[in-house]
Amino acid sequence: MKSKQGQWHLLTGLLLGVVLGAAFSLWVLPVHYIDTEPATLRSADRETYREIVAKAYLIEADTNRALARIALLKDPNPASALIAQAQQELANSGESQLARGLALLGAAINQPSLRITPLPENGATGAIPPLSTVTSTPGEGKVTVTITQAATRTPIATFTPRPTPTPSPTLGAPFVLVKQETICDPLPQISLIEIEVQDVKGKPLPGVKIQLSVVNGGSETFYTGLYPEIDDGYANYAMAAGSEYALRVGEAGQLVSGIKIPTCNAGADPGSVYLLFQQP
Amino acid sequence: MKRTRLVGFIVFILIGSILGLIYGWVINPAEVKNTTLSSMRTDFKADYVVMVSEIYATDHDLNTAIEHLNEITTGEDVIPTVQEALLVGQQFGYSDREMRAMADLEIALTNALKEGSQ
Repeated sequence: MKSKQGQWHLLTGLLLGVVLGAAFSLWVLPVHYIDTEPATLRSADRETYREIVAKAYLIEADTNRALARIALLKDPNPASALIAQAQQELANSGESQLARGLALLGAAINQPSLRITPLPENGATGAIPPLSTVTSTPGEGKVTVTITQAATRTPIATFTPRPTPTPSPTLGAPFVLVKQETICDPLPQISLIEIEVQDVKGKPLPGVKIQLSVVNGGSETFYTGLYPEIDDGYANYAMAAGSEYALRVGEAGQLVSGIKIPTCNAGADPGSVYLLFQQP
Repeated sequence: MKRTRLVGFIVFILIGSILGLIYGWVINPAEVKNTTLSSMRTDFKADYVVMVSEIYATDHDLNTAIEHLNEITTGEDVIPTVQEALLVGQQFGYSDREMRAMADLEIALTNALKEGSQ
């Protein structure tokens, strides 16, 4: 009788114990993380973090600091993550200012020398009292902020923006030129190459790299998305008289060459060139 | 005899539980991932508060600032979060501009709380 029963109850007990232990650690008393780093944040919180960093970047205009903050997330490709979030923000009809910040920050990753103009702080009175002391009362967990004197806020230095936004990977099919026009009406004060870049559905694409070369000259790289007030897929370049340009949108887009300052009013005035690129 | 079997059963449940915990805590500890902003280390939270304060200094949108602060606040009141950030800022030598921005936000939050309670 004894030998028939065997020792299966012990194995059953062991397995039951493992299951109980796992259930306890997973549901009854789950792990509660503290003192974590931004790199471990869940997806939604990573987006919130990027959002705050981008907004602060537009205010501080401190590229190095913003990049250091973004680096804390340890994204495999931070530029792509930022550009994707910017496009998502625009697609969701979110804040265009936030999308701009994200796109600029994405650009700054590949071009750390990028400088932007900081947004002005909007002091209600213009006079900001400086913080004099911050004291903590032990045991009560209470902090007191004491302000002792008033002073005028020091103006923040402004940086002149350069027409050189960012690098970011261009995804999807190569861009092709679908429209080229000469702009004479209104007559431009500066002759520009005005570029609009759209995806296959005609949606403007910010953060797209544009490589421009000057015949017998140098080359430059700039990006769409720096003029959201005009269009998220807009970029422009000021042409010099007598120069001829060629440009390519994206990494493998169609090369458009022979771009020169066009003439308007029977050759009396210089005009601008409009180029529309789209993914087929 | 039945009693002996029951004791063995219970003992092996305990052994199984211990083995499960050793596996989970020592052999294959869970990777820290999918954490929330509220679980971040204090200095990261303080930097977050600096950013929120600077945004508030520009747009004066207190509701949005509170929304942002709620992300890193474990309780309901966001004011202690800002106050803690002020202490961290003092400890780590944050700039006067950053300290001012945080102090302004703390004052605005306190005033809003007072107005709300009246």
